[in-house]
Amino acid sequence: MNNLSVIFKRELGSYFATPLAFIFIVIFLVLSAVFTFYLGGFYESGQADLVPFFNFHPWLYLFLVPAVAMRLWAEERKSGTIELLMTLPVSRADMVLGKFLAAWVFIGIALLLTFPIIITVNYLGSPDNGAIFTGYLGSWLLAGGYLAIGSCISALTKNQVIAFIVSVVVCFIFIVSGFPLLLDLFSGWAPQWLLDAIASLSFLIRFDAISKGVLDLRDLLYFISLMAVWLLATAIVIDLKKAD
Amino acid sequence: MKRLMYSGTGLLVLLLAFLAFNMASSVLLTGARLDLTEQKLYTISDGTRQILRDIDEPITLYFFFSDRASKDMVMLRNYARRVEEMLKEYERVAGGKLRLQIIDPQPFSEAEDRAAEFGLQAIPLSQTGDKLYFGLAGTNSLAQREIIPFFTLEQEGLLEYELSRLVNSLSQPEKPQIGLISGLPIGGGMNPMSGQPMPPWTVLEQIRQLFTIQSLEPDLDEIPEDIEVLLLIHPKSLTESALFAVDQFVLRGGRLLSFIDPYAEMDISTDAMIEGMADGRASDLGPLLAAWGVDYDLEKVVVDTRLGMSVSRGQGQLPARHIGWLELEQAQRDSEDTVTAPLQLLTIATGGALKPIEGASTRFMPLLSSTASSALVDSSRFATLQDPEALLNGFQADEQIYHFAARLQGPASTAYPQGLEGREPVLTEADNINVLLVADTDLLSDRMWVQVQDFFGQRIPQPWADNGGFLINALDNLSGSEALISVRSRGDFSRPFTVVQDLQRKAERRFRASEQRLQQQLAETERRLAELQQNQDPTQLTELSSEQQEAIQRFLDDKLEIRKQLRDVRFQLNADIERLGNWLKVINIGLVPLLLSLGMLGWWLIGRWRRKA
Repeated sequence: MNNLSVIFKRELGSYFATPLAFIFIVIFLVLSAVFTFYLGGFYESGQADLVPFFNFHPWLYLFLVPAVAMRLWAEERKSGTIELLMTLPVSRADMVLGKFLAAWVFIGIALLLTFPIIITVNYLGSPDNGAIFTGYLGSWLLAGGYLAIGSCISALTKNQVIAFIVSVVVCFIFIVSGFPLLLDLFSGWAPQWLLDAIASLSFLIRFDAISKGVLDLRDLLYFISLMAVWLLATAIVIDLKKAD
Repeated sequence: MKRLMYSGTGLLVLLLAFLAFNMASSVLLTGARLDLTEQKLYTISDGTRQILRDIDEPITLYFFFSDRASKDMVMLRNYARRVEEMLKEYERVAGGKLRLQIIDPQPFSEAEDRAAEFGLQAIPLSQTGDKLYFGLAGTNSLAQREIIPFFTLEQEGLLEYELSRLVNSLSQPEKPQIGLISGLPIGGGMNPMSGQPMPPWTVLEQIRQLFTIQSLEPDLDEIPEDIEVLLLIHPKSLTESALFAVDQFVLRGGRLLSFIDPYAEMDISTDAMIEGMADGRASDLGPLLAAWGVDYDLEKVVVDTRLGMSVSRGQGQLPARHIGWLELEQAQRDSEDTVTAPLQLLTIATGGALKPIEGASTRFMPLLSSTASSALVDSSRFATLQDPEALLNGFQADEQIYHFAARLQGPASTAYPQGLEGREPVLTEADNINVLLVADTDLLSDRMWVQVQDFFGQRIPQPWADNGGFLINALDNLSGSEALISVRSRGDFSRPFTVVQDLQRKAERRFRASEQRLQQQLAETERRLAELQQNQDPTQLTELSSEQQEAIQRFLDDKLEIRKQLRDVRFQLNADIERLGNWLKVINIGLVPLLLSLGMLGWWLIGRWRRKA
């Protein structure tokens, strides 16, 4: 546990040692507000809720989170520091989890910095703050899902750009898995239970349910298990590619 | 084991475990949810629990969902899952009195015949030619049936209410008897003006599902014994003998819900059509109101500048504020009374004022009221009203609060102590009467609260205000079935930007003041200009003195200037709202990034300075 917290602190600190993290936060804040106000028509809608705000998060994260995740392992692999890491008396689980948590908390900080929108909507009318709270929680869980996927893919390659692109594609598949775009590939030959299983993997549908204001244990477990599985996979991949 | 784990096979096992875990959890962990919405939109309410506990004879529900045919429709499947879970929750709470059967009606199966036999709606699917069923049928021990033909996504907010209503009507096979006398075309029919058929009003369709409606003649001599609640809507054609019958009905403990109106906009009877005759659209209850201790002027309409609605003037034009059409907010309703407490938004149109008579024996309990920014105007003003904003001209609030609806209870005497045409009153007084009086009828018409959409031939009402709920609540309350009231109106209604609305009202007030001033100036300038031009000597038509020319030019300039100011004032109308919007955009988009940038810069400068030092 001690190792985990050491790695976590070191990684989180490293985000704020360079201007890159700061640029990421600024881009995230500007884009999410621009989408909310211009594409989502938040002010013109006249409705005191944050639907136009949360609606764009899955798409915003699709590009921004892989950008954070791409350097998690690919950089270590490229610069060769991964060998050094392996020799440290730190378990692989601690390393994977520590890096992931640091990145997740970092995205959480970026998310919290969108607080002016909460003040805005409460100033303009009387929103359902319970639903806003679950919206934020859902958004953070969603980011965690993307991040875990990105972490695993980053461990697969030395090249950050490849890690980024592949992560975006895999996350996109998770987004659309509930839509005809993907289901059409399976319908016709796959049994219904498989179709339902695939549809139930969709980020969008899970996120939508949470951001409505209902915390369903199944949706929470979905995101947690998704993160656990991809992080385990990250550990496996690191082990498999140890020799590379 | 560890070797297996850390291998390609391990990854595959992991993936399968993930799928299996989520499939299992979606089946096993139903109902474990935390509802954090303010109105607990996704939790079974106490009213429903009450209804489920009160079931005496077993009820069977058949939930039909075409599982196979809907395989590509993710949204619908999710909603179906929600309906199914809610029904299972009902089954659990009812403790054996409610049985649920889930049926997938495959094409050409017995189950499909069954669904059709129940009268469920099937949606044809274009790709496969299959039919999609997504409805609910219920039967009770008396073999009575109730159905929900199709669950539409648009009505998700009303899901619990619809389900509870169905269960409630099966568990109470005897629907309350409502006697209805209406002076408005509430049941539809032919429009005498246009010759077009009119559909029945949505409120009537809704109360028909819950109550047995008996239409009564406006000239009856006696209210039938089996009527529990008498519903009078715009009772202007009631004969004296019918009024006498109502009087006796109320005194013998009958419950009355009456909608009267100083100006019923939906009245299409012939005397209402005669131009300029505003009182042709008025209704009251003759001597009964005074006997029950209520004062009501059937020639006065309440207008209110704080509650006025925005109404469309037509395409390409700014909406107008109509201060005779009002949106009643929470503060204008009794938040204790079960009839009004659960309502979110209620609208009324050209409603009248009800006032308790001093020294009356009855208790007058206001349910709906105006704000202090209101006043009474003659109903005749509405008969010739072209532009609703004309009502704002010269408007002066009288700081009084007017009541649109009230509950009357307590001891009362007959309005006909001498009897009527030789008929002696059976009862001359009662210890307690039970009357609910509303001084507006237009609130019941569709255009004040609901949009009806056609969905595969089925009319789907999409309410945007609670007027329908108000009528049903009142009938439920008077007929004694209250559990449903708490279930209703939990739907998710609009949460408007109140700050923006206030700005709009202020801007309009300012606009109105400046516009009037400028219009007066313009009229004055034009008059002076015309005068000047008339005073010219006809023989010197072409030769104006330089002073005259100057004067004319000055007035022409003035006129242009005033017109420009008027345009500016009009333009300014929405400027405050836009300015606020722009500020909010700037703050949300730029403020935190700017502060962060400054912080970063400061950090960097300090670092550099330290290094130098």
